[in-house]
Amino acid sequence: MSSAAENLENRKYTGSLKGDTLKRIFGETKNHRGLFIGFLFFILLTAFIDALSTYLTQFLIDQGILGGDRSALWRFSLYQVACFLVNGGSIFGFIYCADRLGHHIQYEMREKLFAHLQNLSFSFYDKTSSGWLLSRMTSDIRRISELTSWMLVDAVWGTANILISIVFMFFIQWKLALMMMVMLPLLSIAAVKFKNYIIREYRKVRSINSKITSAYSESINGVRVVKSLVRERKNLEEFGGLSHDMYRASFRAGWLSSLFLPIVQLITSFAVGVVILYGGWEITIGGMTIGGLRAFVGYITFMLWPIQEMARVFSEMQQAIASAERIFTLMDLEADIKDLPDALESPRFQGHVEFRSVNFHYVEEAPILNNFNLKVEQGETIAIVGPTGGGKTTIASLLSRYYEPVSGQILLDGRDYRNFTQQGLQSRIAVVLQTPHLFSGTVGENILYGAPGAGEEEMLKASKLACAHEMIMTLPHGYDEMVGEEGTLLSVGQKQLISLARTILADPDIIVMDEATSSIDTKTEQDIQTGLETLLEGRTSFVIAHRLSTIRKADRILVIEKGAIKEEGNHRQLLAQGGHYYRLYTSQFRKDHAPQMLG
Amino acid sequence: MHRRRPIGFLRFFYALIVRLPIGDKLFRGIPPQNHPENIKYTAPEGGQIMKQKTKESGFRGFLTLFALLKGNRRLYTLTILALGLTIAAEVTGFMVIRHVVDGLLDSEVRGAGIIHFLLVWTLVFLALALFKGALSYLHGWGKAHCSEQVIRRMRNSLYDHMQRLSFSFHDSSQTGELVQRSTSDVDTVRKFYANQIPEIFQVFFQFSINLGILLVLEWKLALFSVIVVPVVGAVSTVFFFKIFDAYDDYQDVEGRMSNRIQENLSGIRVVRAFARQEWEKDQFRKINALQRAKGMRLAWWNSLYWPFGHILCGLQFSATLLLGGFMALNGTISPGTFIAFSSMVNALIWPMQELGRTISEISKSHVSYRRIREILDEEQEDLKSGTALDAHELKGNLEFINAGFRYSLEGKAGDKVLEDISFSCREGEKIALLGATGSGKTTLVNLLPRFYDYTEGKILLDGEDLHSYNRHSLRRHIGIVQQEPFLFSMTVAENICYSLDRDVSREEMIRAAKAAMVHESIMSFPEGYDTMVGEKGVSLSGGQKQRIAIARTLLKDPRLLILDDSTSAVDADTEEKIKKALKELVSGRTTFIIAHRIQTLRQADRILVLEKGRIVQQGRHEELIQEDGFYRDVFRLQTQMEKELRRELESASQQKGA
Ligand SMILES: Nc1ncnc2c1ncn2[C@@H]1O[C@H](COP(=O)(O)OP(=O)(O)OP(=O)(O)O)[C@@H](O)[C@H]1O
Ligand SMILES: Nc1ncnc2c1ncn2[C@@H]1O[C@H](COP(=O)(O)OP(=O)(O)OP(=O)(O)O)[C@@H](O)[C@H]1O
Ligand SMILES: [Mg+2]
Ligand SMILES: [Mg+2]
Repeated sequence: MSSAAENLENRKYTGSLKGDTLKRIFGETKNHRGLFIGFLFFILLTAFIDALSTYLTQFLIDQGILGGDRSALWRFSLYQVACFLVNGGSIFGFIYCADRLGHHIQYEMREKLFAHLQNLSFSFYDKTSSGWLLSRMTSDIRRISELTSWMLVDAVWGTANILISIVFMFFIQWKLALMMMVMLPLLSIAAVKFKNYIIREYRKVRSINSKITSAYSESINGVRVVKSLVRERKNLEEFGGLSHDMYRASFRAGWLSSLFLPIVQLITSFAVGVVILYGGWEITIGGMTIGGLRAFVGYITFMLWPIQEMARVFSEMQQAIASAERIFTLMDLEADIKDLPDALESPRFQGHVEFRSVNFHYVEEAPILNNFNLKVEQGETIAIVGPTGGGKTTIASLLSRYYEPVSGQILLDGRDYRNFTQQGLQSRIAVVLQTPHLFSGTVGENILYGAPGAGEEEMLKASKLACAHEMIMTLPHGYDEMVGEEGTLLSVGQKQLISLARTILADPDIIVMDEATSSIDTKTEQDIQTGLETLLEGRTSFVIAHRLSTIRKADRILVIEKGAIKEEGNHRQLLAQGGHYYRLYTSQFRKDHAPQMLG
Repeated sequence: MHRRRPIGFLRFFYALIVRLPIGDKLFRGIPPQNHPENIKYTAPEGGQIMKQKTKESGFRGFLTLFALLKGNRRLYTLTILALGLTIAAEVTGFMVIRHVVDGLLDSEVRGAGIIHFLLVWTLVFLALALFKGALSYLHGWGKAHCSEQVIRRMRNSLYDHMQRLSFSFHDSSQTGELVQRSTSDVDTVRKFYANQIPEIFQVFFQFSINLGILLVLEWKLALFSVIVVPVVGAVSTVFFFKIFDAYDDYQDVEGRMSNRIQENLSGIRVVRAFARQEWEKDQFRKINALQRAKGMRLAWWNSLYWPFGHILCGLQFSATLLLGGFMALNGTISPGTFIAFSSMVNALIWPMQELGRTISEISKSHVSYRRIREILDEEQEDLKSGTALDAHELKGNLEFINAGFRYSLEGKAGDKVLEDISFSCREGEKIALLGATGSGKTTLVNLLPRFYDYTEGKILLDGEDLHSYNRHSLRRHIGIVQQEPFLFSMTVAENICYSLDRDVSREEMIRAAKAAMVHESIMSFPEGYDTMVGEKGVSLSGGQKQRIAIARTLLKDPRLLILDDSTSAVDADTEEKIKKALKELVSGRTTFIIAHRIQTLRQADRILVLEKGRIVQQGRHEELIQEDGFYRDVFRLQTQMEKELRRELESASQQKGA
């Protein structure tokens, strides 16, 4: 399928300061205008007062100390104290606003992305690893929220600081201030150059980091295989390569950024040198005061920090923007399968199903279904058999609209199923998936997953029908037994029983069982068959199985091979035909059993 | 001149002075039952079951962070020294300015050619700046190298550690949380070396060098200027703990949220199958909101601390300047000294404010480090000790003597899953296991490669206690096809060859694939063996996954083969073929087969029937069908079908004939 999901993981995200991405990021703050404006205000106030208090030292020295005026000394000291107090409040203000804003943005974006992920199609999940998505949900979003709060704080504060300092410098000595202005372009050039280098390195770091995350998550998920195949050493070797690459890239990024600091320091020191030289001269001719010189030196040495910070902040911002690009591409990704604008909440289905010249493939080069036709009446039980890889699960997935036909139609009760919403459709059609998946939590929670509103009685009834009740009661905590992540604390058959009970509880109109009892012992299975007979009565159902016992009683049996119906009919008819089905099932009971069977 | 330098300083002091005696206090936030070496499992809504074990509690555990620097200690020390020299150079710069100011006010100097004077000192200043620049580059280079090295080792050891933890650990831990700890927490710890330690030393150097010079210049003033230090210290301590607790909570919820996301994503197909998106969103919203609340609390402490520090330091700064100003007015100190003095007081006091920031950062590192330690403190499975075997040395004679097993969960042993298991088998025999769902078949075979260790009775392999063998070599020679095949998201070929850590020739691989009857299926894929199978093999059919898992195990040519219901998703025809192919491959080797079809089991040399963890029947097919019991019931059920089938066949052929 040709979705945009194709290369989401490998796509390059440049993180260049493109206007629209930025605009969109700040668009996210629109619900918190107050906080946003508040923190911008406080940060500007802080920058201003910071510069002002340095400015005040000038008078403190000139008028107070050199002028020998005690009251001036007192006065300016008090002014300064006032500055600190106001600043204290304003610092509180901006941190408070920025932090809160950050947490709100993080909350909202996570919520949005999570909701979006719930609606993406199966084909998307076929191609995208959960580790990758996890790091989008966690670290990328965190970075964006930092962008709108802390990085912005740093950027605004830095810029404001430089600008305000310059203004004050002009107040003190405009000629010297003009000279200092020469320094700015130098610094900017250095900053831009470094920014580009550093960004390139960090981009590498990000992409390796992604791989590391996936490596962790795969090795944890597959740890049982790793251990049983004694792959620990080899895996560590491979991972070691990855972490070494990571080391190299981030070390490079690290030392490149530490090269930047001395360069900025040199430039500013040069500026201070100029101040001493020229300012000293001006002082001797009375064009400047000693306090002014002190303030100048103060401004310039201090400017070092915002400038250095700015270089860091810009490279971080760039990373954050690259994160935002990834997130926005993900959010803009439309599900392959979308509800039509006028889609109906589906009513209860009667259960007529029709596949009309359905063609389907996962990848273009390997068609699975070719002109597939099937008509099922209400209440029929259809069994699907056939060699593995023939397309049985695919048919079930198409029916449940996890995938849509590439061409052709699937009709439910005579209407193209695209006319219904997915949510509605899927809550009326239930599939017992081939690989049972449980969520961590208790057994009871897992069964109730199928029908959250159901009461305890209904749950018990369903689990009895699925013959799970007895098994559950043998567990130490019964329905409150924890099943572990993906149900690891249970046996496979137990998981199948629970997932069957879950489906039965959901009370669907059409039920699809894909190898639902393949790991369950014959005796229990027999009981399930009996239980299901009442359940399936009047309900359209599809049963996929390899065991004869499971399908014999079906109204119609389809033999699917290479995506086509090879044979069709009930058990008797198919046996009479003596074709595939006949061979498939006589091979199960072969000659060597014959003596016992007869005897 | 003051304000947010990207540095933090004195925290180290606080950490050292304040924390050592009360190290345990760090864990105030943790309820007592999971205090020291006790193990706690929390299972809150998310079902998070992460062991909260804090072995070396408190500060001592924290100090092991320094032990991790091993191998880079010398460079790291040099790096810190370079930092000290940088600061010394900076302070010297202040002294130069002092000298210039005093010179400018000194009519003698002014008379003697002010230009020359200014030029000389400007050059001195620039030389200092160059020196400082070189050192600060050295510092940056060194700390990048050391911190990245430490982190690289930490990543590797976490990775390796996790794959060496026992099955029980993985049974009860959550992937999302482990991943979060290995990535985001590791990154927080990285900052400890890359930022926080240097920041602390920066504060330390700034403080001590400036204070030293101040003491020489004017000791009274110097002492006066550090009055604030104990106050800031006390306030910082309080905040340290507040932030520590808040951050601990925050990360904890973050871990749970990761779990929630991970669970949702890995079960997304089930979510969709039951159209439960809305519910999932609700659940996520809850944990997300909880995290926001925790974040807000963290924000609150953060935003309180800063202004506190700022105002305290500001007051001290003003007071010191005022006092200094009066001294200058009185002529006790020169104006130049005053100016140098104000710069130094600046450099002395403001770092205190930064200290707060660094302290909160360090408390975060501490939290993260503890979370990592919790994983690293888990005991590894002992893979190495015990007798190692060569392939030909493993015969496969097994003897179970009243063996029993309980899973241990949450630190305590659970119910008996296997009890009183006694049987024996000789080299090359074929053992079949039959039993109801959950009767303990998988558990029994999992004891052989020592995935779990039996807890009662004895199991002998070739006459020796199974526990006396080295786990690695057992696993190398025992091939097990697990009931639920797990494939890695790589190509088909890589998955098959995963079982050998040497290069595998294509022929060898294809031979294994053919024996598992999967070669043809693979060849029908557009990209054949190079097809990517997707996460956990999603793009394969159930039977294809199982057969690839079989091929993978066959490739390693095990001495003892275990097939745990591994043809359940394969049609009878194919299964028959696999059985035939296997017969040649594993002749002479002990084989365990778990299956539910009598046809699959009946030729076994010995069939064990399990019920609720006990062997209720054992023997050959012919014997078992004579006895009353589970086996015969199952056999009857299945043969009954055969009988019917036969009848149906007959009638069908009659119809045909007619
Ligand atoms: N998500 C997917 N992406 C790409 N190819 C797929 C995907 N799912 C299945 N296939 C391919 O489609 C073919 C049919 O698979 P399907 O799962 O329908 O088989 P099946 O009849 O259910 O087999 P089994 O009995 O083994 O479960 C297989 O060759 C499989 O590799
Ligand atoms: N990792 C585990 N931790 C705790 N209990 C477990 C664990 N694995 C299985 N159990 C429990 O042990 C019992 C036996 O499980 P086991 O997997 O051995 O059954 P089985 O005979 O293989 O069943 P099936 O035929 O369904 O595969 C079950 O009750 C199960 O709940
Ligand atoms: Mg299938
Ligand atoms: Mg099992």
